[in-house]
Amino acid sequence: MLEWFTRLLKHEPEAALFLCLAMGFTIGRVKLGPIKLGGICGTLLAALFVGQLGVELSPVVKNFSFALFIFALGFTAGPQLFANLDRSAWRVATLSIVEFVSVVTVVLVAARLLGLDPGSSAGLLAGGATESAVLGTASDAIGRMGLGSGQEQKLQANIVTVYSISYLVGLITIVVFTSQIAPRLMRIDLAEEARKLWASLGGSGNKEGQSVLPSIVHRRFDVTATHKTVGDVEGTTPTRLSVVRVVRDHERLALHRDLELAPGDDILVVGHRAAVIAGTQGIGREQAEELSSAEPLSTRELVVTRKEIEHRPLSELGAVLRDRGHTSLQLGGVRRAGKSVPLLPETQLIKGDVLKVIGTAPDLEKAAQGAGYLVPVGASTDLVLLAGGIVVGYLLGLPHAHLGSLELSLGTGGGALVAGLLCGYLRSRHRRFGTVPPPAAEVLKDLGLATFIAAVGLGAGKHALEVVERYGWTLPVASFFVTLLPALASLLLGRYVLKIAPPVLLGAVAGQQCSTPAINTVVGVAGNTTPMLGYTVTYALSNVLLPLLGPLIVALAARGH
Amino acid sequence: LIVQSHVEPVMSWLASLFQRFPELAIFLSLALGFAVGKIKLGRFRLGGVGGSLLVALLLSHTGVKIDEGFKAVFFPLFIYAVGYEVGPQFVNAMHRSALHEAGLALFLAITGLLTVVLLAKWFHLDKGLAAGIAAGGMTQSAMVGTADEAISRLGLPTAQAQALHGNVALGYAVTYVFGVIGAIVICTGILPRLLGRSIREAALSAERKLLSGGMPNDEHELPSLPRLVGRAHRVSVGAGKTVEELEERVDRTASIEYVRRRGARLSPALGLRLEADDIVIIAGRRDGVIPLGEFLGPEERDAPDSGISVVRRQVVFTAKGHNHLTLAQMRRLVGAQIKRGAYVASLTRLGNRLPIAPQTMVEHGDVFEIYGTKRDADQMASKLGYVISADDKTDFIYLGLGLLAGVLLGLSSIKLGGASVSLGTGGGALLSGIAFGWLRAKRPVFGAFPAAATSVLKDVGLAGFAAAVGLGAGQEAWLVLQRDGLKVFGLGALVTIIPLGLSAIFARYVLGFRNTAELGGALSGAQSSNFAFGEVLAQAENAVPAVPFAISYAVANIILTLLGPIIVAIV
Repeated sequence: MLEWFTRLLKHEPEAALFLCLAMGFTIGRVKLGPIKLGGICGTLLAALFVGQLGVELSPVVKNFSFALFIFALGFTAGPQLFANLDRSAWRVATLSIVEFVSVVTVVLVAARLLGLDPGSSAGLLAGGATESAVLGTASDAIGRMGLGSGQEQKLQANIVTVYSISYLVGLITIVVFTSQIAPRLMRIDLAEEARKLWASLGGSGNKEGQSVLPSIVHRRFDVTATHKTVGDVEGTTPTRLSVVRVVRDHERLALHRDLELAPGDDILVVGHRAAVIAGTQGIGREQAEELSSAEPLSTRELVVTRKEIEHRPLSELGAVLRDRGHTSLQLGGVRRAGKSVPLLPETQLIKGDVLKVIGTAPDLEKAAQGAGYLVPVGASTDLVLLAGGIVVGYLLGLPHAHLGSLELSLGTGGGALVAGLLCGYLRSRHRRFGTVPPPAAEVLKDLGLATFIAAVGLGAGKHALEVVERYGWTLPVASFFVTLLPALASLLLGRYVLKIAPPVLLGAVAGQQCSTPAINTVVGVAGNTTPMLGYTVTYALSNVLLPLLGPLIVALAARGH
Repeated sequence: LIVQSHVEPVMSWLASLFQRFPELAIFLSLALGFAVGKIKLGRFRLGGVGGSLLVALLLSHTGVKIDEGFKAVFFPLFIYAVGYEVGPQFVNAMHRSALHEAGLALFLAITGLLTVVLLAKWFHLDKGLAAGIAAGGMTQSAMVGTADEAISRLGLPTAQAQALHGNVALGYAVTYVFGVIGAIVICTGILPRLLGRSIREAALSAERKLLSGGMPNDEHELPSLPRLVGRAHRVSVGAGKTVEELEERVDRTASIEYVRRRGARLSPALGLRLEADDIVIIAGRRDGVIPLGEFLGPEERDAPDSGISVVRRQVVFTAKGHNHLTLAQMRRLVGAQIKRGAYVASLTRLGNRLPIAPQTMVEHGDVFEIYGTKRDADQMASKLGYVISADDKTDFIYLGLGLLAGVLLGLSSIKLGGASVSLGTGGGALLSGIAFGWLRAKRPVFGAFPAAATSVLKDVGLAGFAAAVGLGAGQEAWLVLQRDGLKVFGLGALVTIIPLGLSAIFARYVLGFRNTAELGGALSGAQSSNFAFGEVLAQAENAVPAVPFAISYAVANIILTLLGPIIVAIV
């Protein structure tokens, strides 16, 4: 049975890959106390196990998948990364810098003490910082050192094996530290601090769900009033309320402000709650049933590109659109650089703002011509962008620079990451730029990384036991310090020098190591999402910059070794 | 020659780059291929898959080597995703039209066989070349394997058998590219003319027909009047009534969630008697909230900040003992245990919205959308079944298991008249995709695979596979083409065009296919051409062509594979 199975997997390595994914994500779901391993770590363990049978996966699959993963990572992180470089976030962002400097220092000290080779050092860093992408960039760097292929393979396998051990230790350390130990060190009650912070930020009550009284409402009336025009109903503030549809004798009438409503008309009104209540007073009987022929309203994103509406306050926007006959449109929100802008009458629009507009499809199309363009619904991935971006990334990764005796280069992984960042940033500025929709980027990231991890795990399986025997207990201990010391340094700096609010600080410490399990646990203990305020800042930076440490640590460790 | 002197250094630079990073050749093929595929020649567009194949062929000059393992991973990914999407509809469509698609696949195989045999006779082709041209012209790579196997069993001297084997590969390599491109052109360029309607229009009208009675569940579109509403009222006519009396009057289709009296908040217990000038917030179905409001008093413009929030929950109906009940029966059975304050906003089955009427029958696996205050909605959800989490993360356990099952299914073979026939990876992954997709639709508790994720995996999977094929088949094909390839190429083109053309006419006038999108799917499936199907699908912009494709593809994969030994025997 086992022999048949081994032969099958050797002959059809893709079956081994799919097996590792299924096994790995199952392992990843198992809970050890508050800690879940996660699918990526699970896949690595499964692959190391299956790798004992001597199955190997095509290197093209491995590198192709990694490139997809790291480009998608950059693409999704791009807009946030640049947004976090502004003034308001610098204090929290400093902690990521602390992480980079201290983690490299600790790893180099450990490498000197234990006599680790460059591969094992990189693995220690990747696992200690719980950042899997380092595996790819570090193996790539080792591949460029021009070693014999036997030596090269061994070093690359060492990265993976050491990583699997230090990841486990690092994961447990960071989760327990941020959620249990750090609050005690600071002598605070995390839940209480989080509650206070939430209140000081103007939040109230339970945040799940939406208000029972939403601000935009839709109502349908059978008109009984006489001598009322559309303009009378809409009043002087048509941005707050509009008549969307008038049906008389089964015919839909063309809308304009002077249209006089007649008894028996069937009208649909959309707008802000208070305005609708005021405007429809005495207009007729409200109806509950939806017209079967009713045009549904769509919610679409509209990107501002036209000069004529730039720098005009929102209070005038309605008039501008109305001149063009866009009677049904409602503004649901404005986002600038990915953040919501308050909807005040004096808010001015600028090019690149993304308006959330609600209206019937024909009106939306018309509005688009006047203001900018609509972001397509259900956009599919632009493969020219995805594949072309990766090609550019590879080319970026080719040149190398000399820093003293150090030879440094982005490598193909780093190059693809930088290309992804740029494309993501450009996309956030110019919506016409091609896209990778978020769920597609998610699956590329997850499947790309999992496939890559399965491939390296299968390849390293043979050497795994050997490495574990060689270093024994020293490796888990070293991993513990690689995770703990940078976190501790950030905690002290953030608490006593930068004076960051404790819930935000703990979130930021979790984020500087890109640890999703840690932030989930911290949020659980805090009882609200205030730690996310810190996490999103450091996560965006670390997620992008930690992978670039891969080539650096390999170069530094190779010199010391 | 001038061009060559410019191209040569670029090619050799690329060659050295691809030697270090073979995957770069694939990415470059995809990027350029999708860019080329966007170019319109008249009304025809080659599309990204065909474009990738062509660019890959050009790049294959560099001699880059892509191993088989790459294709073995990405091809099943594509075909599994197709099956997964189509699974729910496939099972429903099986009884309706399966015979037509199967008939089409059979017809195409027979005309293909006749074309090859006749051409072999007229042009004196040997067994190997004939089988190779058949495999390439009809883009069925499994035929290469079965023909090779049949040739080995002929008991010929080694040298002669060797030559035949070589000819199989040669014929396949030279004719394959036209097989792909020709099928794309016929299915997306010529079919719309034959049937007089574009694929997109036909796909839209077929979708509308499928959905008669239901609505597509599009999260970007809201009904113009949301079903569930909340309002604030100032009590006037309702003074003196209890909460229970008022809610009873609207048959419990709306409830009082909040009462404020002289600035103090009261708990809206059923026995509470309302007084004039109380401010109350009511929530529920629109047809209940409107009359309830009229029983209370005028609507309050400046709504109080109640802090009450409502949630939506997607719940898969799995409650034991309540399967196959009407909504009215359900309400009687479950209603007594459910507090007021939670309402059903929508009901969907296999992705289609059902009417919420008393006679609507609910089945296990249906998805209820529940709306209400958090506590009440959660309580109702727990009575009905599992809550589906809102995050759109792909379930990799399910995906991995499905792909594994597909590979194993594709490997298992049966003996059919001396030849061992297997579904092949394509057929196996397709069947497993259909089964897993159908299971997911029946019980959406596990196996999430969001649409954007399926779509990108399909694109990357198929185009990556095409690029790998082009990069691999290329160099050989160029060499052969330079010698006497033109004859082989021309014959291959005939083997592509004649069966496809006859089948299209047969489908239109004998089998009665009217819909361009459906026939495009069925025809590309009958030819087992994933590439043509990919383009049909891209132009349809919905899953309509996938159902007919899945049926004819499954049948064609088996029949066309069998043609290998038959051709070797006859020619």
